[in-house]
Amino acid sequence: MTRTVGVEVHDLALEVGGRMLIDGLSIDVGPGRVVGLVGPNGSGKSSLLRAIYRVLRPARGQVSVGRVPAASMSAKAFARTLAVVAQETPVDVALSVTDMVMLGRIPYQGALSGTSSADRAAAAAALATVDAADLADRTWPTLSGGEKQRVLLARALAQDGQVLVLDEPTNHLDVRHQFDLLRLVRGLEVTTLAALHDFNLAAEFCDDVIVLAAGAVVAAGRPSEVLVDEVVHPLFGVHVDHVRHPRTGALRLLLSAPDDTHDSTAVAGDIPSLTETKEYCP
Amino acid sequence: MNPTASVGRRLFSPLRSPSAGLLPSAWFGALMLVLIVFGVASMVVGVGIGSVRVPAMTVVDVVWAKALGSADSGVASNLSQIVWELRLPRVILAALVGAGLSVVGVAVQALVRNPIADPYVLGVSSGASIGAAAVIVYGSALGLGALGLSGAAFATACTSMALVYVVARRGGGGLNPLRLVLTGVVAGYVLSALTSYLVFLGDPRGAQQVLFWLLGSFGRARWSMLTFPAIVLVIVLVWLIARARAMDALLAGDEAAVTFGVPVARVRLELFAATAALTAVMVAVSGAVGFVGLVVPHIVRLLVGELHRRVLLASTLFGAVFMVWVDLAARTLASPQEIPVGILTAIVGGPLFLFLMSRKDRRVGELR
Repeated sequence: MTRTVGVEVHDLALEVGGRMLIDGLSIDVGPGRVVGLVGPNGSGKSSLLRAIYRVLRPARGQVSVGRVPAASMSAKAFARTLAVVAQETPVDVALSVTDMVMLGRIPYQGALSGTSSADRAAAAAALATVDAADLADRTWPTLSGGEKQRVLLARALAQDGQVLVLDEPTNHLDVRHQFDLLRLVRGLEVTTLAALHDFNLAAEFCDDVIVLAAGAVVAAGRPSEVLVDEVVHPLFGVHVDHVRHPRTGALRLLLSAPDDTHDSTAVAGDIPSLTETKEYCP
Repeated sequence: MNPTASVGRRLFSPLRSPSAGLLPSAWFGALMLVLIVFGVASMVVGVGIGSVRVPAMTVVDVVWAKALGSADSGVASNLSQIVWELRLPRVILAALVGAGLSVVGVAVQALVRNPIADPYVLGVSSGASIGAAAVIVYGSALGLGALGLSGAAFATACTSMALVYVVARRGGGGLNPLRLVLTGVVAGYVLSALTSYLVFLGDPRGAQQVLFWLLGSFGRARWSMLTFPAIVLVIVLVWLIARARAMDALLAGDEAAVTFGVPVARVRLELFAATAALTAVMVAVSGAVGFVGLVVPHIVRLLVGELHRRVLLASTLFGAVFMVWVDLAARTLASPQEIPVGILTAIVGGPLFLFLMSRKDRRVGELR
């Protein structure tokens, strides 16, 4: 397959609002890998992603896609290589779903040319891939949050690139749709870099996880090796335990609040009863 | 099948249509055809009606004869002169200004990403009014005529746009939509104050003329003043249509637009330049006709959805037709008095817009 190019970030420095947010960061996302980006709020996840997709200009260092420096690519060529599903979603545009997905074809279109049959085919295929072909004729404002997120993913797929960048794609989605969306991404066979908040989703769907704190890489590697208490607790102030899912055998992370005794021998007897917790419920 | 009746049924049908507008997208071509045919018919009617009524066929004869360069159209020369020298330039000017302001409205709403923006939000009309007021109030002293009025209005409009541009760009970066609107609105107030001061210093009759000018009129239309606005309109329209996809992308947000390979900062600059140039030209030849640039893009979006190529094309035709009828009403309703065009655009356009919006809301729920 030719759809597999990697993304390398080398010695990146980013200045945002007069502050060095990231200084000397390097990551390597191998071709075809699905990599999760994890870190506390303000750790620089979104800024790093925005630097990768060329909304922020690096103060130093370089982003390369398929070993080609991103800065040397034309805007259109870059948009044909790397597609993004960002947090920002348009709220009230009276576009049909097809028109919305068709925006992803802009890097393939000339200024005065019409929409080609290749564009229409790509948009239809992208909608089918995210299982949203039936939404094609709906208007954007009538979609639910989960439908919108799928359509935005379809829009990114319509760009027909080799790299997908996702910034907290499961925000605002219910549990089922979080799973569905990431399973879909997992099945795409494109290089994927996704900022994620949920450790369990990261563990389940990512080949590798990169942990970011204060604009620097703290740990990187397999989820089971990286999402461990020694890494997570200092950053997030919560403890993490690894267990096996009783049915599937997959890795699951159990999080516990910092004031709980973090002792693997602790028993379940400390769990407060329903009547005791009731007073905290409004 | 009668297409208009069917469009009407579609418009009033509660059923969801597959386009994002009230009209199904396959109807776009038909809508354009209807607008062109209706537009030409409206212009013929517009030329025919006035203090002297000229039958439609006579209008066609005169235009035909002139177009073929033949000296004898078989029409009495005084009628021929009324049609060719007075009415036709006026109707064409109305169509040009209606089209121009509507197109600018589309561009400026994309530029500042604000649905209540109109062509004058950047302060261009206030800028133009300084030049116009100066010529109206002190023109006789300066020895300037009608063309001087347009020239002065155009000059001060362009100057004020350059000023707004410089101020909005200060602090670096591209044209930030919010900053641009604020700069434009503030500049508009300051320039209006200067205009008022000029009028205040002058004599009362001049004040009335300035007020009338500000409300817009096509009464000064001559063939010689049509060429420049027509050329600017065509250039800006083609330019904007080439940028239609970029404007679509801006609907999805600036950041998303960047990820589609759209040079957002440059597109904003182009939109600003296009807006400034076309508005300045239109205001210079007709005064500050209000409301068209705000309401026509919205009416058109309700009909055809938000894809800018469609919105631009349909707004051009819709604005032209709308203005021809408004001008006709302005000339005839209170004849022999002439009602300023700007009064009628608001009175006719406002309710029409509210009506269409209520249809739309019933169909897809609250949109904005």
